Amino acid sequence: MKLILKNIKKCFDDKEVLRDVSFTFEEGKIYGLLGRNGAGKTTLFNCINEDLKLDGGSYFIEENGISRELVSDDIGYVLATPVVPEFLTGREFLKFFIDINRDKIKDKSSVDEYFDLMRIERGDRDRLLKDYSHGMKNKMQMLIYFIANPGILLLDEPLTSFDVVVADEMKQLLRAIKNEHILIFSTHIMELALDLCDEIVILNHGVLMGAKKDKDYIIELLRRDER
Amino acid sequence: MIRTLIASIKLSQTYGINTVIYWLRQLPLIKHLFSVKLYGDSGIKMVIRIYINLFRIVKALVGKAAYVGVMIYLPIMLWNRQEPVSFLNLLLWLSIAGAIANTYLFSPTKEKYYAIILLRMDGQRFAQSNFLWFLIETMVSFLPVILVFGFLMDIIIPVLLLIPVFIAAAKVIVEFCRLKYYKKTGKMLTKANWKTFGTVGLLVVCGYGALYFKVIVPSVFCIGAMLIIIGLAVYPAIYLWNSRLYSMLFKEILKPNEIIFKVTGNSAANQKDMIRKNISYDKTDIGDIGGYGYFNAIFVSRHRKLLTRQIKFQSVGCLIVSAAVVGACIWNHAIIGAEVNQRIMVLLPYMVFIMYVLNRSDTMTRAMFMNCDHSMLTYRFYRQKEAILGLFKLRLKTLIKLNLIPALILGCGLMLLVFVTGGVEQPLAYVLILVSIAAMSVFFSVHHLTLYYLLQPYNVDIESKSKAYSIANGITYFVCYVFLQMKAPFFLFSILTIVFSVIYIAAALILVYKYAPKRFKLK
Repeated sequence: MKLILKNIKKCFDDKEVLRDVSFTFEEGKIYGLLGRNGAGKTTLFNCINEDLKLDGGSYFIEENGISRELVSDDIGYVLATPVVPEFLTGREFLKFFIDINRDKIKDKSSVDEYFDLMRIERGDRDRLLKDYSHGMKNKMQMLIYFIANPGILLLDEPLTSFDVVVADEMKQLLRAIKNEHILIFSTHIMELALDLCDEIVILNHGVLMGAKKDKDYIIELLRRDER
Repeated sequence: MIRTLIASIKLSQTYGINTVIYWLRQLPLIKHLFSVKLYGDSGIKMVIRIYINLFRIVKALVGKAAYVGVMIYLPIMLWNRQEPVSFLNLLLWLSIAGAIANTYLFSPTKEKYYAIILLRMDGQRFAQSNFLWFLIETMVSFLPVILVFGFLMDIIIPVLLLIPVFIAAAKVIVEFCRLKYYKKTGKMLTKANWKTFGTVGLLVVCGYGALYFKVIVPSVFCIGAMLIIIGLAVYPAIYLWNSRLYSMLFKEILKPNEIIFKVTGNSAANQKDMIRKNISYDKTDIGDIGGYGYFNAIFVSRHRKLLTRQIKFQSVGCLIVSAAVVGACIWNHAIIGAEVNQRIMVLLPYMVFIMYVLNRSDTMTRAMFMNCDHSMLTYRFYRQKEAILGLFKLRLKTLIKLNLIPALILGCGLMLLVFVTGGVEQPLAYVLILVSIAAMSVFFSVHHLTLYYLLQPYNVDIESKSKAYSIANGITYFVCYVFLQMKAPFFLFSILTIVFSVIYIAAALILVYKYAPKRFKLK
């Protein structure tokens, strides 16, 4: 499976945030999306997730040489600030999610097994989500997508709210699932990108380009616009 | 000090100008005419600045004129007390009440927040210069108004010139007392509490009571009292000028949670916090339902403070009011029965406004967004057509069911009232009363939910991205208010209400079916 972006454009008022974004993402790889503040990383994710309307260009999936449009089940988007329905308990949220997706979930496990997977403690499972910490909300959000198992996962700064132990566990999880997925991982932490990702892509001046996994080279590339 | 004053006025104007541009860029249909470049266009900003200042002057004058006209001049005319002394008496009472009811120094305003907290202006200088400016503004805006009404009341000019100074002096004395109290106890006397309310209420009642019962002190005493208050204000004015407490005071009053809805510029985020507090947790037993039914049932149960409990209060209230009115009419049937019967039949339009006020759908949709859809709309599965329409149906049923309870109680009460006050010739009228009130209730439930599904204005950070929703809500309120002024033949109005409701509901549902899957998303 490939996710192909073709000449994507997005403007806000007079500001052209995405000028001409073209790239092909392939299954089995974790892509590290780097860019300076305001470069348009989140905008790009929002466009692919259909939260924002494109001003030009297109994106589609190619499977076995056949192109098709993205459907809802193809994509999961883990936001930098996790948002979960605060009036539900963790258990109720999972139960509801599993219930409405019961025909689509493969290898269904029990609710508690899912909690175990994310190492969410028993005492926390029946608490309201509004009382969860930032990191725990993030875990819940990730868990939803691990259960739904979409082919493409967009991850916007997902590991920053985790402590070092959980962040390491998450990295293991992402590595474990990467073979059947396209994982696009946006971050500002260069070391994390170099450590976790198979390929680095840089969003600069509204254009997306591949870059080699070399810290100095990447910084040089990002600095170019200053000169 | 003058520099601080000019800087703070400029800051407040800049904020005002940017707010106007922001609003223009939110207006439905014409927002595209206003480019983001307006924020940097000094010419346009100058024009807006002129309008803002003109508006401020007009607002100050109209506000003062409305106050003196409605609160003082009107009762004097209505009760036939056209002597100058009545004017002076009432003005004296109300000015002292006003000085206690309002505070400049202790109120957390956005101007103070921006200047002192965000831009780190000196609190001391800010308080000195801005309070003095406030007093001058008060006197200058009161002067023409007092002169006009004073001439109408035949009061001599020297006394009229004294009045604005007296009003300012009263404010100085009250602010002095507040600051002293704050210094001594560390507490503030500004928050709405029964003591402030009670004192203000008592002064207002005394003022009007004295006027009504002609307990009027002679003019010379009134003028004497004003002069004494002006004299007494000298020391407080010096104290306020020299006080070193302001920086500490402002830090205390300008905490974000003290300025909810006023300062942070994102009242929706504050609303979210407030609505969030209304989630009540229990181990809800939902039974066997699954999917979105389960989701909706838990939502209703967890928000019972906002939803079911309020409906219960309303229902009990409607029951008590209906029983009391019906009881009173049975008791006094001979005296008021026929008149009530006659009036009630033409006052059905009132019910439109009452149904609007009673309907909880607006609060419910707000809770739906803040505690549920705000997060759930970030998930794609929740934005699918089937999910949106399925949940819309469930929510609509819930809203209609809950809102119908008080509506039907009121409808039955009204039917009973008509019956005990002499009945109607055509029994069909009873049915029409009940059905038209039920139709109004359903109408408002559908209306609010439809508006929410089609015009939901917030993004994931709960910033409003469109004003269409608030404009539509404003229009709804205005139209309902207009119905308050209306008297209409019973049969015509009730049948039109039912027909209109049915057509509107059908149209709304079609619109939701067609557009909600595209429009119901985070903006």
